[in-house]
Amino acid sequence: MKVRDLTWRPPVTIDCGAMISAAAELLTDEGVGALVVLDHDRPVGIVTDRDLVTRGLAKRVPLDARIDSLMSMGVVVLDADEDAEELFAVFARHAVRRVPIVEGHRVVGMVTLDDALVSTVTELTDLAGVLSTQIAFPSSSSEPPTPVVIDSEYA
Amino acid sequence: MTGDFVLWGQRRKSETMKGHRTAEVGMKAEVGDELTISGHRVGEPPRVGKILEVRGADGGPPYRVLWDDSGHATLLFPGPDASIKHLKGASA
Repeated sequence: MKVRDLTWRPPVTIDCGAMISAAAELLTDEGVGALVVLDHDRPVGIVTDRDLVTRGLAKRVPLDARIDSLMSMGVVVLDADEDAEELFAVFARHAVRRVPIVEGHRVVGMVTLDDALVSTVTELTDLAGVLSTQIAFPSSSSEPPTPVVIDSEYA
Repeated sequence: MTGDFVLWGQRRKSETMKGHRTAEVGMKAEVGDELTISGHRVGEPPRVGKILEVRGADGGPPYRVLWDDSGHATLLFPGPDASIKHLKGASA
């Protein structure tokens, strides 16, 4: 399975100079948990709803401060044509729950750990369905039976 | 010295929010350059890697970076905490 076969969401972005309050509104309006922070249309960081709480609210950062003061700097991305296993490795290595997906140098989507899990479970469910059918109807196999060779000396 | 440090080209300051941390624009890199991400906490060492691939136009990101510490390669849009050191043509 390729990364592009998993469930994607379009990326939701915000300019690095936007206020924290604007980011909170965007997260709410778009129903997402993370925003890609852009500087001149180039990704420079990611900010999550949790960042707003732990780095902002808990430390009494004013709501009119810049969003890039709360973001995680740098954006680890994955090519849409990579194997899904590489996505799982990125989740594990970088302890993140969301990874932007790129085609070439453009960010085209965001895949979450939840999305990846659902896609994987769905695939496993389909596979389990095939197995269930084979167990329930073992004689439906079209393969010829394996020939048995009997040594004439002992026949 | 083994090469010249080149940050993100020119730095710019936001016209509307002066005095705050500013992101850097215009980062350019070549295959073989060294990318360093500074530590964010006291005592945290910088993370260093070698650029294996430049995906963006005109040397821009994303870059595929092979990290010295983990041996893994990552496709990355660097943030303002990153700097690039050109090693090509540098004396050993």
